[in-house]
Amino acid sequence: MRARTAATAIAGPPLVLLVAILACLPWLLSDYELSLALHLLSYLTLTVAWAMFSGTTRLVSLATSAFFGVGMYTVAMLVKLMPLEAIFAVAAGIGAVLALVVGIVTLRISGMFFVIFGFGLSEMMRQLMVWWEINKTFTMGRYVRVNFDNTMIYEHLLGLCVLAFAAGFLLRRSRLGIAALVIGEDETVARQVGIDVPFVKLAIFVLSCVLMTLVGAVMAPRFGFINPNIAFNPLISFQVVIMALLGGLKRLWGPILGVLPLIALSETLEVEFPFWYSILLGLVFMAIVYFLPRGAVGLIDDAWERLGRPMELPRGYTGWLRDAGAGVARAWAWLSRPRTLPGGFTGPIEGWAKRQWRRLVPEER
Amino acid sequence: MAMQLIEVVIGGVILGGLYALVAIGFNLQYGMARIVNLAYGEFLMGAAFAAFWTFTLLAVSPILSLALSVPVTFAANWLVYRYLMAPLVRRARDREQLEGETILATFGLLFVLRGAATLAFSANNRYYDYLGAPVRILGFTYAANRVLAFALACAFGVAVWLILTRTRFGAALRALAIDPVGARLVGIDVRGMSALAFAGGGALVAAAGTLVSTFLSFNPAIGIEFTMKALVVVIMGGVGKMMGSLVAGLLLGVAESLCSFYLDSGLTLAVAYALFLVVLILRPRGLFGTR
Amino acid sequence: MAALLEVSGLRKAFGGLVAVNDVSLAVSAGEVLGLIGPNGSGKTTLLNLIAGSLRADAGTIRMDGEDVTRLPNHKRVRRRINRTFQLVRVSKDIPVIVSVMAGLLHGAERAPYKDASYDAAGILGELNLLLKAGQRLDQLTYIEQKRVELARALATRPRVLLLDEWLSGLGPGELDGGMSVVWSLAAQGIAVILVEHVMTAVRALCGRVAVMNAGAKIAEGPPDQVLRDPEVIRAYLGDADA
Repeated sequence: MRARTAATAIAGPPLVLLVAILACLPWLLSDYELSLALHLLSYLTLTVAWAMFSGTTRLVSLATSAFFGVGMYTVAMLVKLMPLEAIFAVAAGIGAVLALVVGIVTLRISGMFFVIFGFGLSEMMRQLMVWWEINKTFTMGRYVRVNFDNTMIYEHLLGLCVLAFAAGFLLRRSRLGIAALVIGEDETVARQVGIDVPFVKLAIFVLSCVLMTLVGAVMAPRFGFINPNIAFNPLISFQVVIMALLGGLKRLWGPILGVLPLIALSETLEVEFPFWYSILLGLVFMAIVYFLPRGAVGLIDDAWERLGRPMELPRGYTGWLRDAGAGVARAWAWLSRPRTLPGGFTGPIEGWAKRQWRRLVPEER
Repeated sequence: MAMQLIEVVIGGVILGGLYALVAIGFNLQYGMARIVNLAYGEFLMGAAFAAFWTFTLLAVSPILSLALSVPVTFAANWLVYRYLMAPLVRRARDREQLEGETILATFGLLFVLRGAATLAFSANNRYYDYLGAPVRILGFTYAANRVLAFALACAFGVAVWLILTRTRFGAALRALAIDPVGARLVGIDVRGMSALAFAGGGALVAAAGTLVSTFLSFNPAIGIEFTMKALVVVIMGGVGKMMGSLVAGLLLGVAESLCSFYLDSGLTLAVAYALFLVVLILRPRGLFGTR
Repeated sequence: MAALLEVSGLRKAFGGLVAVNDVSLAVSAGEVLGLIGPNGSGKTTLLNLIAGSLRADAGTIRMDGEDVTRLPNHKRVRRRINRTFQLVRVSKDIPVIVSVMAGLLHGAERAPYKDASYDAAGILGELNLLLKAGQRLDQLTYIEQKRVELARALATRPRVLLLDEWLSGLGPGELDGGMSVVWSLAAQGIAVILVEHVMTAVRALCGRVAVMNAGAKIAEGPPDQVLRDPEVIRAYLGDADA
């Protein structure tokens, strides 16, 4: 596809350079910084993938952690049977099938069902896996011990992240992406311009879910020990929705603005005060819904628009003089306004007498 | 074998009565007040803890703790509607946008309440023993607390049904469920009624929470599961239809009971999901939906 | 000349109310067929049935000899049937040109992506909307919005176009412009079905007029003749004896 505009030509080389620098980071960072980078990259990819579907079609998906967990658990179960890269492929396949099933069942009806279905999906997967582990394999949790250190995880995540951004970028300039945009605006219109609404939704949903599954799969070796409660953690879905909404959905780079502050928050709070973290996240989230419905991107867009408006020209020192003059005039007006004189101690009595007089002799109308 | 099956089904009906109660409360909030409250189950959890603490610390019967937790939850839900939901209702352009925004807002509320509960009560599983003695019904034995829960759930359900069908207030609520705009045109205070319906739904879930606590162990994380089941039941029975919720709730109870008999008791949510799937595929307008 | 779109025996009921009852119509390429009738006579429902927004209970719709009765809305668009909406559906966030591009990309000809923006600009240019291409729909005037509706429909390259009161609400000067647009559509060989209350436009544009009342077609023929039909007058004005 050739979608070259002046903007892409200018922005292209620096972006390639940026990715190259990011790819070198593992050799420059300390262990702690690297793990922080992993945390950041995994959420960034999840959020971009989330925004790819929910940002355009406006169907809120609360099922992120279900797909993340599926990826992670696939690795946990197959790690002793095949090489890791093959498992990633299997995980992507399972994620795609699950997304297809969920999408086919829920997306053709109203958006409400989709949201509800996603809401409980991860909890149900968790229950199913717990049941499976207890009754079939008699374990509770598995160890993932492979030769796949943080540097490898980082490079894979970076690849996924670039892939997600590239997919988002191309999607915005493609048949499918424009269809999604129109669907998000008005489904009746979408049908009337010839868009196959359920198919478009399904295609983008599957794409976004496969990305999420892969993030889970790649992150599995990082956790080392995995049980259903770790893999299918509803907090992941929640954080992703917050990050995406905080950043704003209108622009491709919106998620970056959302991920950075929340990762900072979670790094400082999550380990030491996990419950406070949950409360604070909830409050932040409600604040976004109430006060920042377009996210940080909305703020930036507004600022940009304000910059683009005709500015007031500088007024020089005459402006100051005029202001000073106006101030003097205002002070003079204030001083010379008509006022009532203080009534003194007889004032209240006089007032009372006046009121009585009025009661006796009503004013003529 | 047949006898055992009957025993399981009756057990399911007893459990289903409770689900029906939870779902009727949710239906008041979703069908009448038009708010999808994902934090719904958190109030159930709150009431369960209230019952637990009054029972273990003060040795007060959980049934008496209803007198405390129901009004408190009613008030709390009224406040939630008045101060958190009403602004969204005011700014929403259409029903779809309202549903979307309330889902997001209550999703946030869910994490706030759950975090606060975990902070206050710790994440441990809680359990207390109240009326654990067996009773015999039709020759089968059931725990007394379950039967009591079923009876009280029935009483609450009948009360709601009577209010909805026999009073002017209930008629106004039903009008609200059918057509909010029309309801306003005939002089119903839509905002005020919605707030009351929302609060009423909260009161019912508090009652359900108290009853649940007598026979299930619970922790601060159980809310989601009950919210989910309420959602499934309401969608199965039809939004705004109380009878639908009742039948669908009983159905879910029986299905779960059968599942735990034949498969495993840890798969309850999977059963709810399976039912949900079947309904979505076969009858997307609900079991009793008309086209 | 064989008819392009043939509708026969079409019926649609909502519960007990029969909104469209056994209606048959035919329209050929380059023809403007007027569809008139009092409010609530089933004109818009008929359009919805032909466009595929609603499913017919009975009857067939044939497009160029092919049966399209069971096809969903978007597939009929790709069979070159399109319509405008009576109430303009205003998109808040997407620019005008994007909605036209969507029509080009997903309509009958499925233009390649790289051509879409040029073609969209061409269509907007024909309708004097080129300067508004980057604006959002809610920034436009009512007349411009109606033209965007038409542009969106034309982008799918229809051969049958259903205009639902597209000329209503225009002032006298604007009406002439609107009428010349419809006329030029017909001159390009598009079969137009015009649902309209503006009688001057119907008389001027339509070679043939069909009249609906209470769901049924009660008359069809040249406008002057049809509008003198006593049954039609009764439908509009009620019984003289009443």
